[in-house]
Amino acid sequence: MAPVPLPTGYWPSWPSGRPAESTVHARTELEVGLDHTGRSVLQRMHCEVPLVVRVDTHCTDVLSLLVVNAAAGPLSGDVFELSLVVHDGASVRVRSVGANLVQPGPNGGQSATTTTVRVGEGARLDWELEPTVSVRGSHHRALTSIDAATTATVRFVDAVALGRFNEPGGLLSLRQRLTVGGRAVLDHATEFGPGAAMGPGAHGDMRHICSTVIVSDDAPVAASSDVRPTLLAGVFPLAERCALMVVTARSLV
Amino acid sequence: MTTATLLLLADSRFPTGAHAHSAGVEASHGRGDVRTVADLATFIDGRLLTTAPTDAAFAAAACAQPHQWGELDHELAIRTPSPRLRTVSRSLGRQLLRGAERAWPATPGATLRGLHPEGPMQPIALGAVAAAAGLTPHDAALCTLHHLVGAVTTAAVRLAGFDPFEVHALAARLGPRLDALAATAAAQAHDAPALLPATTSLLADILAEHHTTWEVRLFAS
Amino acid sequence: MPPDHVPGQPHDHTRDGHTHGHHDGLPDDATWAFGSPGTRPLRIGIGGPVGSGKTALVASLCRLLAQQVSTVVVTNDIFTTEDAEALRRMAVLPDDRIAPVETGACPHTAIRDDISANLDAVEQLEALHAPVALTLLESGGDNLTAIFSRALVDRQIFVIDVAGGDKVPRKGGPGVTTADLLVINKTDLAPLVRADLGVMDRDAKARRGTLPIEFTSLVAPDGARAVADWVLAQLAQWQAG
Repeated sequence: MAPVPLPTGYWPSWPSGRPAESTVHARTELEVGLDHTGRSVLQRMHCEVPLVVRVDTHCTDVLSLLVVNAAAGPLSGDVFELSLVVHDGASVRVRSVGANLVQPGPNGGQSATTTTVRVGEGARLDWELEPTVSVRGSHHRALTSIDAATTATVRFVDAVALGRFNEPGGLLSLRQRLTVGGRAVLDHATEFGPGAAMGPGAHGDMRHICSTVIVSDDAPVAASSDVRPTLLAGVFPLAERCALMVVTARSLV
Repeated sequence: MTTATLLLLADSRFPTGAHAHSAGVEASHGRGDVRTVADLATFIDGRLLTTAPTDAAFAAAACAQPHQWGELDHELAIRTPSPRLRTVSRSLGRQLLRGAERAWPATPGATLRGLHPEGPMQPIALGAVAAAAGLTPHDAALCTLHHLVGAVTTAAVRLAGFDPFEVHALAARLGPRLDALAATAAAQAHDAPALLPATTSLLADILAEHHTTWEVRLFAS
Repeated sequence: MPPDHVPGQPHDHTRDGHTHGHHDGLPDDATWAFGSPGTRPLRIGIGGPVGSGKTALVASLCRLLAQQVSTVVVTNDIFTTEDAEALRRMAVLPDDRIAPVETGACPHTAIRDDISANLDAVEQLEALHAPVALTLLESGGDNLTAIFSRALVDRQIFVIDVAGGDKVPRKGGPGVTTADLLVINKTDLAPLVRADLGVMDRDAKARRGTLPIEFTSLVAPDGARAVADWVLAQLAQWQAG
């Protein structure tokens, strides 16, 4: 399955700001495919601390990978890259252990995470990491590129919490681009931080945002919404077999 | 000099059907989020951080890159998750063409309508009309921003009887900010469509879908 | 050339120089009203103040005409889809022949200054159900100053009602003065509101010269018959080119 190249310059060169002396640049690459018996197996894994991935041996029904943050992070100046390829016909579930705290580092500046996922024909990906928590004072950018083949099945959950309990959050930029069968079907960027970004014209005063991308035969085909004082949700059909679901809440309690 | 043409295209009285839309103000007002002019200012600020830079950039790009209209229309549509907002944008784009073809016969209405069965996304139509009228990408971006502020202030006045002098004072204070945003958008006018801004507003998308279910509403969006 | 007869109760009046005979039942060739190729549907706007009976008139016209005249309806609800819903509930037309258009708190703008959204809805309905002969466009209730753009409709019916006061025709306004047909509705209420129909008739004629006026009581079973006949006459004239 040939990857769909993004245009040159799509990923901006970042992070900006003076790099700290002890910044971490970690790139972890994973490849899942079918072995000769037709079982989904981890065919290739290259892990760089702190983006450590383990196979969850408790899971016997499906190949399950656990992303373990071996150290705190990302801190300012850190760049993390996570790449997963799911070859044709294979299935994998990806989870993580512990929330991903994005924190300010000693020298300020941005931290950045890039997640690149490719899912082949007839392959299945069920991805749900623990929320990214934007800690006060941090400045983080997270870019996600999902490239699914026409007959792939994907459930990709991206959750963020804007601040630890009783604290405001930092600056957080998210951008997600979804391509299915070679055609882009979603590209949305949301920027969170103090001020008008959390007002009625932008994202409201919600602190927990969970967005789920669905590529599936069962993807919702009708738009809907649920609007309550402390919770807002929307289901947005994007294209055939594709939908985006967003839930935002003021608190999870 | 094309200032007179720019003023005409920017004028809210130019018939485009946009008077029936509130840019999401009615939906926000229904949640109690827009009760004072200060609230309205925060609302506009939110839009100027999210949907406005995207729409303005696409309008500028449509003005500058006619050969890319198809790609631009597609890239803007995928930046609009809410099907309702896509539909609204396309119907406004379609309606703009009706008046634009008469005012500026060079407007290639058939080509623009052909971009999509429901019509072109409104910022693409606006950029294309601006080009046909001899305007610049900067003009197209500024028009888009001006229309947004006008839609918001007009809706607030009609929905809740806001002081029309106060809301227009607010609009006046936004002038320099709109100029700056238009300049930013114009600087992106020749960028590849996929590289253009993609900032969205979560509330705009969710509340647009909800608004469409209301039994009692003044505005179409 | 459409036949020179229309169904309806016996009456005898002149409309724009045409006289017509009458007999009960459908015309011999029921397809005459479906529009010959190249003839755009006749678009008739129905305006007037809130509560004067516009929706009731549209419903009655559909009941009387829709069987033999392919009809679609666009409603301009001020702030609800109630008018469209009411029409659908009355089942005077299939649901998909009725379309509501929001007017953003300015109903007169939508029919006069900026008709884009209405034109869009009209054209879509007419294309969807082609061939359509008659398009009715009901404006959102408004005051006496509203009129339809001539680019949106071909004929205008203005509906006022007796309970609005018998001074309304004297006040005039573009609707009262220039509408192709002025309907003064709710005549049954005249005694209750002490409205003098003779005064209204006289004042309206003073404003309108020879333009037609119909007094109606739309609650009566055949209350819209005269208006329906007028519509059919307009349609005949329209299709004659």
